[in-house]
Amino acid sequence: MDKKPTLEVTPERQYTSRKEFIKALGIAGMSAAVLAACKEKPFVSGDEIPDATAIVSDSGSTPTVGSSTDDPGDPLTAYDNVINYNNFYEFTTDKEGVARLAKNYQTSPWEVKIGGLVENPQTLSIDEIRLRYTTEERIYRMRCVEGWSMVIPWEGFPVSALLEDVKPTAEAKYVRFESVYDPEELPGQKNIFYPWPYIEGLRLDEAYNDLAILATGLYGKDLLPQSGAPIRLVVPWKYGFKSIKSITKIDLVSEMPVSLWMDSAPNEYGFYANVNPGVDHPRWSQATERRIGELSRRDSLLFNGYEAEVANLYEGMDLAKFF
Amino acid sequence: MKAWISQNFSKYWNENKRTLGTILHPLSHVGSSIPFLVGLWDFWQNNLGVNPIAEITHRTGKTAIILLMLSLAISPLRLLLSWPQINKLRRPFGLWSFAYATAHFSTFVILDYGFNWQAILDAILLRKFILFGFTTGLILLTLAITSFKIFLKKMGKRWKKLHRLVYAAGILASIHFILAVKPGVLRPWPYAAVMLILLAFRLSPVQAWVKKRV
Repeated sequence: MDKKPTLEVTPERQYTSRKEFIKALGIAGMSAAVLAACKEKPFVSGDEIPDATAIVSDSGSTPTVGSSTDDPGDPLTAYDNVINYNNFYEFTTDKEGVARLAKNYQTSPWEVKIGGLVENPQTLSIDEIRLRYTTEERIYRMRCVEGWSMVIPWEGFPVSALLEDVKPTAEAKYVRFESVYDPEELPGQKNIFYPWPYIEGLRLDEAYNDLAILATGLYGKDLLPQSGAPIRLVVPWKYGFKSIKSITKIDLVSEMPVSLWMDSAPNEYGFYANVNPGVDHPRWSQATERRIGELSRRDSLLFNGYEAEVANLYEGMDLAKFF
Repeated sequence: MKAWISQNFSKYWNENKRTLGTILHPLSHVGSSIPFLVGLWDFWQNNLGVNPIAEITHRTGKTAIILLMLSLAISPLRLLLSWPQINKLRRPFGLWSFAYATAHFSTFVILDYGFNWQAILDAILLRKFILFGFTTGLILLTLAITSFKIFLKKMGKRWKKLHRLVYAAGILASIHFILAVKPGVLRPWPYAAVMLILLAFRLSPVQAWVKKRV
């Protein structure tokens, strides 16, 4: 990622609005009406683009972002909260203990191997990835399966950009992501209950969806180890655990990958893990969530509020069965 | 030297354990209120972390379990140390455990779910771990009410039987904690292990073994 001012990248609000505008033009009237109904906010015109807002963190540095809210107008979660409340079991199961343990974790040099059912397998260093793929800011809601959520300004690029470079073959049906395996440095990987390394997967069409990104930064800064440095997946319409961190391997495969959580607790975690207030987790109702920084709970939204963008991926599927 | 110390210690111990047992009674109240005061201080200092409601829930729950374990530890200690004076400590620890359990439940009902009774009822009936916790709370409530002397007199032998429910509370509270976290998260297990050891002291073979040794 070049250190260019974040103001030069398209703010996510304008970006998605434009995209939807184009989409709406091409889609039949009914779909367009549905799209319009799902969007509470009118399209943002150029002169309404918000100024870069400085959010001051206690750590002294001042991360900058292109907007201070997500698409429905909810404020960003404070930077300090984003980097101090992390589910990253490779370090510890204590969300507020990850940052301290991850502080000195070395994420450079770093290599990502992309292979499997592709015409053009590659091994890229993180520097090569940063050079090759231009990142843009995406402000996404992050909904954890535990019932809390954040609004995070990511820096990333679409997964599809990477897929286009490696060219999946016709047999490729899924993308399998693998996290770093390094039990010497990652104390949590000594917990033998879990089948390390962390694995996650997406159906190919999910991975091609424009919302799915590989993130290398947040709040205009490089990712810190606790947030999944140097590169992680972000799929905002799914529960947070799908957004695998610190990726070292990406494989195109023909069979549905079995994720770490599907393996550890198959009755609790399925492959799809789409945010869905109508489908309960055995431990938690998913009807509501607490936005970090807010006092009262708010209603959770189907596909975390990205229904317009992703619902078509699951047409005709029983979402209670494919949870 | 070592023998001299142990001899003098046991002499001192035998001379003073009666007084010590009496002092411990007010101290148990002071000690039990410390987590509450620390919590108030942290709230005042805005020191409850990123998700304060979850933090309050976890702290009150853990404190309730620890105090329940302390209450359950009294009888084994009394046996092991031949120290009848500490028997009085069961009640303050049990009552304080109930107080923190009440704070735990109130956090859930008021702070977490904002009196959304529909959601609360759904949680209690459909989430196994909340059902376990709720049942534990009902037991502690019953024991707290009947802990007054009038009930002891009125109920006679039945009182002792009723208060054996505290063992069930210990088991249910442990299950509640274990089911509240994801599979593979080890936090509840040390608590469950201590609880199991304390409950094992209630088994007659263990009691016989202890009595033989003391």
